[in-house]
Amino acid sequence: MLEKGRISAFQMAVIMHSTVLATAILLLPSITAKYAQQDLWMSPIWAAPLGALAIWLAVKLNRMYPKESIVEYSESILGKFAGKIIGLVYVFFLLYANGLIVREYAEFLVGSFLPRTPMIVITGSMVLVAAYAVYNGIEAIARTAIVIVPVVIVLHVFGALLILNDLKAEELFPMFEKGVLPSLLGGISPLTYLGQFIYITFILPFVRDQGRSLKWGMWSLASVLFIMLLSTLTTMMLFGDLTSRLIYPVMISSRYISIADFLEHVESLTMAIWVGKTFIKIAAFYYFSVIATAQWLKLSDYRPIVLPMGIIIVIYGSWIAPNFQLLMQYMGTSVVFSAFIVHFIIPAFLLIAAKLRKGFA
Amino acid sequence: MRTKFRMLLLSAWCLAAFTLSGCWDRIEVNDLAITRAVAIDQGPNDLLEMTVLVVVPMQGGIGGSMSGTEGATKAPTEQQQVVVQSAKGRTLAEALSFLQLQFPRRLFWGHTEVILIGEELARHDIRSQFDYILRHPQLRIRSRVFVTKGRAKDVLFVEPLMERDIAESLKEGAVINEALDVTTKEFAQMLIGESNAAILPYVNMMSTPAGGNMSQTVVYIDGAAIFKNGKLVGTLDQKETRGALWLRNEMKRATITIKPGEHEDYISMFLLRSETRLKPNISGDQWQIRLRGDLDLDVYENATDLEITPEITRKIEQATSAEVERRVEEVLAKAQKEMNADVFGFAEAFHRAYPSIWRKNKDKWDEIFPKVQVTFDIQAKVKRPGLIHQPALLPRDEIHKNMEGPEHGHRTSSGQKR
Repeated sequence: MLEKGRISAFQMAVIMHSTVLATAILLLPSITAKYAQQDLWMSPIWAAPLGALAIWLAVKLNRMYPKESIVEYSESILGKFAGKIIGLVYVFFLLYANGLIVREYAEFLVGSFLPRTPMIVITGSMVLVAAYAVYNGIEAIARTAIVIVPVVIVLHVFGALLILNDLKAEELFPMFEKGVLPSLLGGISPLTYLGQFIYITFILPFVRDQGRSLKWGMWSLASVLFIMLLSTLTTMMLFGDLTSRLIYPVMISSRYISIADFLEHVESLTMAIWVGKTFIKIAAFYYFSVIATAQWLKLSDYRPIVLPMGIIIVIYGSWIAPNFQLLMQYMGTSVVFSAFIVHFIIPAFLLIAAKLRKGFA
Repeated sequence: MRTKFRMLLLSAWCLAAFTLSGCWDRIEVNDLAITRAVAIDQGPNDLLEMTVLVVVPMQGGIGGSMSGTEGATKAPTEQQQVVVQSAKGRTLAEALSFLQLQFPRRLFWGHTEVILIGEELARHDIRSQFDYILRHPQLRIRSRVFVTKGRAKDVLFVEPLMERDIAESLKEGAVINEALDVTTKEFAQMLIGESNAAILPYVNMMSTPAGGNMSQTVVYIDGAAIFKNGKLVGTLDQKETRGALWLRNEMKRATITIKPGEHEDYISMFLLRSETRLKPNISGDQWQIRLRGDLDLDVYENATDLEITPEITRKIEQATSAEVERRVEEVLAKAQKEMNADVFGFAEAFHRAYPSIWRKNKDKWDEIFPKVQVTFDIQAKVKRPGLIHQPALLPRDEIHKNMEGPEHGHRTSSGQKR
């Protein structure tokens, strides 16, 4: 097997918490508010069952092929040729997703704090650090996540508490003003993020206690949902209709904090949350990408391709969109569909095919 | 392989160490001019005039004053120098770029506490100017916004009497007095809100004698400026502004003076807590708002000959409710009939309570608002009489425990306790 390390199902849950949440947290409220308006906080709830479906699909397939990832068992299920094509879809989609994530990370830092810093410096340095984590395997990523994630969750709750005084609950009303549809449409964006739970397929083969992976997967989903609710509710109650016009409402809300003229300018808190979480996310996606490629090429070791893949990711980050406006448009349109296929349709199709095969054999 | 990778990591580490320590956006504090207040005025030929108040932290107090090109430099207060400069441009960003040329340090917006809008500019559409304020990554949307009587620029030249600069003085004036206090965020929310109306504190200046031939200028908040569709349409005086605060549930500090019943002397009370809510109701074509209020008060001064018994307390409470109603009606008359500007959140209240009726009628809000009927349900509660319960210095036989007594109201020596 490519990976020598073993992690627990709990560690998997911690990695996935920040892998799913990281980039979602800053952009999500604004994108969702465009559709859902004051019902914005319901949108993640609508998307949650599909997130659970992604976890269930990955775990079910893992039960049938406990030592393989989706790139490998697609060959066992569909035969060599069709399986290789499915594998290639994941190899390329993961690279694409990696580019997107690295770009989103850099866009926030450049757009809000470091306007003149070349983007390549920000993406390059982050990918380099992530490369070291990936090179040391899943155990290293898991342990880093165990250190970073609790701190980040505490910072998040702390940030929400500090702004409590400025929140107005009436901004959430009237609920269901235009029916359920707006909040359902708003759910499309969280769906893209929650669907990323399917990538536990690359971690599950290395989980020691696979029996508990479904349970911990669901806990991970619950924790993601909690933070999503926290951030959508606080931004809506603070900004109301203004939410959809701001690009980073969560960051702006941390800037709005002012406790007794003393505790102010805590946007560095948001920056810390952002960098910490995104590091785990980039390292995890980088790892998925490298493992998928190594499995697809049937390499005996994934380490030689870590750095070359990193260079590709940095370049993808620059190529993926000429400007922020187009990046946001991709996120709201084409990425929604391609992600839905990769996160739900293909795994569901594989599970049905595998069940049929077992039935006939 | 492994050593190669390590070598690579080492070189990468060195690279990172060099670049991370001083990135492109590094600015030393002593290269910054920290902007505390911005004033925006209408200049000639459709240009905007932007004036900034900048503090320059100094090492040790340097006395004397220098003179700027267009502005003036004021004497430093202790360890801080205040500089006021202005420049003109077609947009705020352009004015800023000209302004920057007058400074040897980079202007930094992160600590801007106060944004002042000149009255003349406010009469034009100010929504386009506020785009810059929300879009610029350095500006914090907690800055307070004010409209000034006359030119906003002039306020920045005033020497504050107590605070270290005029920005602090205005900000603290709004906060300490718990008067109308609007941040950029709240102003933006009002501008894009259902009613297209907004309210901002209105700043005025006053000269007071300061001994000899000297005089000093005081900057203070003198009521409120009302905006409709982004344009200034009128102002409220201080009393009317208080009425607006009751409606907006922003009244946190007040001294209420009333005459209990028909009595000719006054009782003053201090507001401990107040909570007001708008209860909308639509029946047929009649749109109504019920102002529900809960007030807790303490008596601070009793100039009457009444002892504050439970019975008298009820009378005082009724008079207090009536006083609040009168204040609110005053401002309503002006806002509904003269300005047609809903700065009290009526539109949002109707929207929340009657979403479907609201959707059908929201385009007609300008016709509906002047006709909205306001009723009152104000519950004032006088919690305690201060530290004494009987009038302090009146002889015992002149004190009344109720208002029906024969001598009531005939006391002529009412001046003795003024």
